[in-house]
Amino acid sequence: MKDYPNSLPRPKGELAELEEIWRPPRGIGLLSAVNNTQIGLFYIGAALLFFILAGILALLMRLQLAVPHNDLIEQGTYNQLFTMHGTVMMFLFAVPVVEAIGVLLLPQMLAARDLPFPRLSAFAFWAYFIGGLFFFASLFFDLAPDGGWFMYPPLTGSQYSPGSNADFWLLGIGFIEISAIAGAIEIIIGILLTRAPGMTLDKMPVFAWSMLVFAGMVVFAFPAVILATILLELERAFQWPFFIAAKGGDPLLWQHLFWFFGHPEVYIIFLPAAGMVSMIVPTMTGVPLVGYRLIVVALVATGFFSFGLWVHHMFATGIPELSLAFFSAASMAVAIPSGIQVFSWIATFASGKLRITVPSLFILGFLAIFVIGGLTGIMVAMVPFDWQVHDSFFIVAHLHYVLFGGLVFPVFAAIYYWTPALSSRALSERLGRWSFSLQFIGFNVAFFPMHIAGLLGMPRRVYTYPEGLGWEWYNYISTIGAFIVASGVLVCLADLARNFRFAQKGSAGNVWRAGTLEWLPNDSYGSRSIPSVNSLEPLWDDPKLSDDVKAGRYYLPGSATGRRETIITSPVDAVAQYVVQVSGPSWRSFFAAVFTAAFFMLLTIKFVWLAMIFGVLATAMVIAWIWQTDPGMNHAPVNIGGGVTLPVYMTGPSSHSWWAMVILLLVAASLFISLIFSYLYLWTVAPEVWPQGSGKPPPDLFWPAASAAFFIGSSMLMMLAGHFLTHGLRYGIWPLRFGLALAAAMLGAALFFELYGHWESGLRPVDDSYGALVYTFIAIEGQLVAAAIIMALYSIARDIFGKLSPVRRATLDNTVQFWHYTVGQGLLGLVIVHGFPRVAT
Amino acid sequence: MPFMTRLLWIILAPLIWFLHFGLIYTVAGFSAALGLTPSNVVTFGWIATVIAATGVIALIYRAPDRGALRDDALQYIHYITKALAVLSLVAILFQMLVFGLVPFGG
Repeated sequence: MKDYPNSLPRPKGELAELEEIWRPPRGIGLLSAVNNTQIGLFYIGAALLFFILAGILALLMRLQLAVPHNDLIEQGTYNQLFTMHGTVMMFLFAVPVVEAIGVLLLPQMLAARDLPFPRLSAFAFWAYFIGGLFFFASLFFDLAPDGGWFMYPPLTGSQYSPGSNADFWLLGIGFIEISAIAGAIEIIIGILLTRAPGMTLDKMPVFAWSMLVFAGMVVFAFPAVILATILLELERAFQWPFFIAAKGGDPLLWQHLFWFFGHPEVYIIFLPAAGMVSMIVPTMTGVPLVGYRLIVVALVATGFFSFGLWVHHMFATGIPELSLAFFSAASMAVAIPSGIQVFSWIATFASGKLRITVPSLFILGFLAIFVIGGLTGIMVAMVPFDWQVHDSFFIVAHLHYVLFGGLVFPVFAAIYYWTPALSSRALSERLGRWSFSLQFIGFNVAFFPMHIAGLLGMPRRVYTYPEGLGWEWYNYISTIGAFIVASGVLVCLADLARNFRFAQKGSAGNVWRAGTLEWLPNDSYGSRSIPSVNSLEPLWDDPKLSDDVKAGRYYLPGSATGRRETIITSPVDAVAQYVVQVSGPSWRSFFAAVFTAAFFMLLTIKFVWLAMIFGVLATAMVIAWIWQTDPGMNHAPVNIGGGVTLPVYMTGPSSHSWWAMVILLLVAASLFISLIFSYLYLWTVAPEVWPQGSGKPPPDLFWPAASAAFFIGSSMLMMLAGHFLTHGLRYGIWPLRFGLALAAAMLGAALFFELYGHWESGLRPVDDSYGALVYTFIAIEGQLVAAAIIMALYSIARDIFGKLSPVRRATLDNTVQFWHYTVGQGLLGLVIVHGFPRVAT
Repeated sequence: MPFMTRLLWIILAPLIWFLHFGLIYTVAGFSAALGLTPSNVVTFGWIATVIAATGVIALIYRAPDRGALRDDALQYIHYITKALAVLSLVAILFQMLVFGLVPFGG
């Protein structure tokens, strides 16, 4: 007889209470929804919308290229079309769609009621959606960016792109990336801390592993492009010369920063898709995934190795052969972990019996197309070959084989596979087969000829071409293929419109006989009770699990505190630690996103003062949103079943919010490392504008010494503030508040001394790249200092309103953590900015 | 073993690879600015490779405490640590081949 954590029958009203607490808002109130089920669906819907919009742009381009000398679209518009197509596909479809699938499925897969920061998910979604719509709308006003999706300067500098078009890309994409990072933080904490009890790392679904690696890569890769967009926008708006060779800048710096993000981006997109494939393949073959452990190793290894490949996008820039060879070798090395995954899937096919369903077809299509893309990838990893085909249609073909094969096919497989878990009806097998056939055939008809056109010398990004070069038929065929792909996508959309009926309860169910937890009976609260997990495919190992979970036999079968909640478990062993109360529907995160989007939009069209007003409103709304968090120990420890009693609040390293702050600081550190790289890189390019070359002395050491003293002093005061809070009763209320205020003032003073020292020495940011970099160090540090001061004032306000105590202290703990990082970065910045020019020769 | 320690064990080998890659790339890329001769750079590369490879091999032999192996989850960490170390070793040696194959100074 199995020993369950909770016995039956469950108390009357327990289920009704759970339903009431998790009831989703309706009507206009849906905008305030924060639950992963609603936000995940919104997210996927929005990503598919952008996929369709970018696809329409592709069709327009193919129409233009169908015949030589075509005048359907004029050159300037064509430039906007290919820039927007690439940008929207990469930033508004590819990354968001995998993040969306993660937000939607991970809680169910891990048997959590929700992710730990639902409002952050909602904020990330609305910021992305509103920002994305605004960005796309720029096309209709002839304001869309036109410098290609990787926006190389000097073409995108103010000299050659004087309008606002490039600003739309820089501010729009910078903003959308921030939303992606917010989503990544949510996903990392969700995967590490909200898994079902017993779901140790070796029992975690591969999709969760892939999303963990994905989110980790976002944290380290995206800051590089955020810094790049900041630098280029500073150059365009204020003439700070980072990329202007005449003033000691270098356009190649952009390429380094962009591709340090851009190459991992390929794997950021591919790894979650590989995770989806690894979930679908075992179900469709009826056997466990062959080499589960190796696949996990391959995912982690790919995540790391992908950061050593960025220069392989720059083989034609004239960098030294030895450097090229390093990156060529690394490009080949990354094929090893990628190959491990492909062979594991093939071995799983071989060890089971593959059911030919629509998801299986898309997986087979993915394997064929992705392998071809991978092979052409090995070809372009060879430097001499890359020189021949660089910027030709061969590259267009290669990247579409990798991205369409590596992402779009798995996403369609996922749509067909997981729809029965969310909808009262599964999608149609007949329409699905049509959709797959049209997409698979159309894709190859569209993109295979591009290899040949490229080898015949057709460059990418040309709006038309002359007759007689042998390119005509290849382009004509490609255009036909593009429309076949579009018809395949349309069939799938029609299928979704006909059959997808969102079902909070009563979904079509486990029609594929899958083994993982997302197929448990689910409602808006997730599963009725949270199971303990002993294997990789719990539903295969325990056929009664669904019924037992639904009956409430497992953990937390009701609401223990009368609020939305889920169990926090330890990151490795998945032992229950505490019950966290998660947020319910809120307009605050929605309006915070709206105001933040307005801030960036208005800044883009140069309405600076209005932008500032919305910036303040956005900050106020974020403060209003987090004011409701950090509830403290508002409930006695709760019994979740099986004799397990858990607290409802934690602080310090045991708390999920503490870890979220750690990840946020990793993002900041990553951005700062990119800035240090930029500083050293530009020094090697133009040492003559550095103090030792120009003869202009750096500021007197008094200024950095004073700045450092204030930095250190403020950090010490923050440590004291923590001490005052712990021993509050002994010292009274004022030392804490006074300490925080003084620490904030000292932090501001530290920044001021650093700024004033440089200004007083005569250095100006517009002079040359050295000046621009020095002031960028100060500006980046200034952002942290401003945030730290706001956090200190916020902590004071919480203390005044009685929301801070020796127990209820997560707010102050996080502030202290952020503070010490800010001081550490400030001190390192001082050492670099003042030390390096003195020691470098 | 605390979570951070376990995480560090898992990612230590790829970190060594990244450090090795970053160092030899930086030294080779900045060799002119740093005033290094080609033979200095190659010597540096070999020394860095020997150190990195030794570190990773040590990790393969001495992955997390063996007492932990009673537990499935810890066995799993042990396995991932070793497998990643093997892959990292291959990548480190592969990277170093470049010094043997490519004429420096091109």
